[in-house]
Amino acid sequence: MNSHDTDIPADIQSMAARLAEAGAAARAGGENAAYRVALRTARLLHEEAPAPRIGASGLARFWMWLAAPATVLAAVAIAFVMAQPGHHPSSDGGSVAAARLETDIDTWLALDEVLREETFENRLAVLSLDTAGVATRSDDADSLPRLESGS
Amino acid sequence: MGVEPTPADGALDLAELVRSARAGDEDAWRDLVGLYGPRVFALARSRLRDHDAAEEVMQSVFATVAIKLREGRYDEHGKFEPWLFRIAMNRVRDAVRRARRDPTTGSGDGLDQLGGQAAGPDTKASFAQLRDAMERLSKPDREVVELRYHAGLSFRQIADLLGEPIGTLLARHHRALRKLQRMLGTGDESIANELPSPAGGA
Repeated sequence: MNSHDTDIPADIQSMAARLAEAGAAARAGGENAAYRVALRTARLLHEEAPAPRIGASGLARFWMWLAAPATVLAAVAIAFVMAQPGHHPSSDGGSVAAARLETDIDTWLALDEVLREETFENRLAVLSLDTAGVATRSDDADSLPRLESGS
Repeated sequence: MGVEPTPADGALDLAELVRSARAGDEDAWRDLVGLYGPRVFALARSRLRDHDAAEEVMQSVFATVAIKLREGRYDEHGKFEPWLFRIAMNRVRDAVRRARRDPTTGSGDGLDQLGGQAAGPDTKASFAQLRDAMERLSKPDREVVELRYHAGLSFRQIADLLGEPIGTLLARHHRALRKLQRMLGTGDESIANELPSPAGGA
């Protein structure tokens, strides 16, 4: 305590005394409570505070907390899968797949055409060889039709 | 005037008490709570006007103090009281906010428990009048009065706690007491007439 604590103006000293009396009574009313609090809190000097137990409502909150992001993740995953080509015929991916198939068919048809032309040429070549062979054996080819007229 | 002596004035060595409690000495802890618990309680009770709520605040304050001591987080050597009452004021403010949100939690003003069995009906009525008058003070004025007369802090400690110059604090204290005096009609009229109007006060 220093001089400030006793240097109260005379006109308010009675009020200060009255307040001090009320304060002392309030403190006296807290003595038993202080004893109880001392007993309850003494163990905290030694031990870790117990971890809060998760009650039924706490568990429910935990699941709700877990479910909210899981739902969002699931929605994103479904949207991603649906956006993949081939999973939705009317989507852009479906159009691309259809176009690709059409191109493939055209390729196969063109190839078939080429093969068909090659077969024709091969046959033509074979026929030419056969014709040449016939020409070299003209002496005994009376029974065969003559291809070279006038030679 | 009946101002509560601080432990430093008596035979108790506060620093030694805090050191022992910090080392896990439960007897020292009980002494410490016995010494400061009622002061924290009175501060909380004055603001909350509820015995049970005040005890709850006191328990919260000392639980925090015990944990901080155990964990070595008290490093304000020689300033235990401002440290303790800073925690207490924060807890009281939190409790006041909670009580405002849920006004049904209070169990009355608890005047029957004020001062134990010693307070008679006249005293209780007088305390009730004083309490009602304090309610009408501005928050800063009321805080100074509560810290001074309920928590039993010196003006110097209050100035440190609130971070205000001692002169400002003393002026506010004197003005607050004059207001109370005028509200209760106990002051010298000639002095009261010189005071500023209630609206012009701090």
